[in-house]
Amino acid sequence: MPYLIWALMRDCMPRRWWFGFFAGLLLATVLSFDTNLGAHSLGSYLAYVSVFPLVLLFRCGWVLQQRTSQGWPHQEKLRDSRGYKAPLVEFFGLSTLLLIIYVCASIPCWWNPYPSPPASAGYYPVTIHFGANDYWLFDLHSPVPASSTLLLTLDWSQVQNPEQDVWIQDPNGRKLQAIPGELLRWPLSPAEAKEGKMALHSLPKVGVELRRPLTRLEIPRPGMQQGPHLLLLQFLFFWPLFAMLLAWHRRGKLSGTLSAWTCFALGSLAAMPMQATDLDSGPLALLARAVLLLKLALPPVEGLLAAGARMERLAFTSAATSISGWLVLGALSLWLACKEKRPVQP
Amino acid sequence: MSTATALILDNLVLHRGGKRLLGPLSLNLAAGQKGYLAGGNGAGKTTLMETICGFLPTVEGRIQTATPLGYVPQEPLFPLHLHCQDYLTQLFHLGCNRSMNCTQAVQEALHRFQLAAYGKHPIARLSRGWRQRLNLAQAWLGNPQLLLLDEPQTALDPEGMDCLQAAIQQTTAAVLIVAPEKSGCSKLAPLLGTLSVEAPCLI
Repeated sequence: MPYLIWALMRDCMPRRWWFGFFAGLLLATVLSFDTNLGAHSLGSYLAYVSVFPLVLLFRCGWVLQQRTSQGWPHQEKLRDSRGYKAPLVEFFGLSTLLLIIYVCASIPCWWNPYPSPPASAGYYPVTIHFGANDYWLFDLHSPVPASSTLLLTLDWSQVQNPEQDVWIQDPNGRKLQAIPGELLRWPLSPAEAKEGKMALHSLPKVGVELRRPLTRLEIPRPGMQQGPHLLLLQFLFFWPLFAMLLAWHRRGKLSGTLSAWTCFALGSLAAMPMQATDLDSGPLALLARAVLLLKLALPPVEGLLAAGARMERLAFTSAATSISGWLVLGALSLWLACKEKRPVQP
Repeated sequence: MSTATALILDNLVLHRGGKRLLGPLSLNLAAGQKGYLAGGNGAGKTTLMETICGFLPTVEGRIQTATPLGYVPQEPLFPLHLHCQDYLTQLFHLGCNRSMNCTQAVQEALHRFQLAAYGKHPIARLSRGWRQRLNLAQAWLGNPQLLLLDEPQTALDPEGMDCLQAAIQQTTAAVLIVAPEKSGCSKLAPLLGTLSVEAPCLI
């Protein structure tokens, strides 16, 4: 099996492709971390890196299509009596390539000639569904990183007695003192971050109002030391996609290229941070509902592919159960790919 | 299936495009036995071979074969970018024969059809005749118990035919050849019958 894995890896990544990969990685490092040329952000680097597995996905699709036209399916049928050697070879070969890509991509996180991006944070507006005086219901729309902080600007103009101590409290009894003229920083509890919804009220009810347009969610951007962890999560995002590619190609009888496009569509759907919003009637709304339903059928793993300018909003937001579900989906796809194919009806 | 029988076709009926093509066809091939089925164009030779190999479903009748199978398709498909030796090595590893030495098996297969000098040549650079020799070599790889040869004489020069004849004589596997009449295959194996839509072959 190692020989076949090696042969597949050579087919998918010929020698000149490796030069292209390393040149691309170098370019991604310069464009991401150089203080003059680049965006000087880890999110930018993660976005560039996510292109490599996508290229590999389409390349593998093409190689699988070529192999079909080269008569390999018949040879497998004749020689591989158990029927699962060839798909396992393909899966392990692709997994090894993906692993090499991510190990190489994590090198600039450990050893980087450029200065690390400074510590910073992203600030996001927050929807407040219910905003009667002294009681507010915040909707963050989706899970947020546990290190997030809610920034509240309070209006004290209606308060009769500003000398009185006022506390902001959540339903669990956790409370912080609100001081007139100061921004209230409310660190989210793990449960609030996971749920993406929270309620706060003032104690006692003295007429404190919330300046809603000024309310922000502060999310610190992950530092360089968290780069390898984020790359590992990206690896976990793409890994099952390669198993799905094999399943679509081998069991779904799709051509390699079409299988790659199907996996790309599924991956895009899984990575899309989509929210259920009120939709009007009509064909477009119907289509949007269908896409939303399909999205809901997939585990919420958009946090695995945190990249780009808003990377901190999604980073580390995927729950362990969602990641496990995504990996199980990959394992199921691999099992389907390994099931012996029936001959086609002449 | 008895160990002495390499192939059993029991009232096999072949279909193509939903229409009956050939049969019922019955055939018993003992281990080591060689045989040749003749048939004209469109008689169902390739369909028969692909059905025995399991590439096409058996709609009517029953097939039992010894394993492993070696198959020489009429129109071989190759990964043209690979070297002959690399291609055969990959095919060997695709099989599950752990008792054999890979290098030795590949070299034997190459020598059997005088391909040793072309071992490091990309398949794309081989002529049609040499590709047919490679097609034959891959079928002999891995010590098959049953060899199915679909018009194996195609594109072979006299020297190539001699190699093929010698390989068939030396092998301990059962061999079934399908080819048109007067194609020169009658000297490779005794004629078992003729495939014809009107006259089913019962042996």
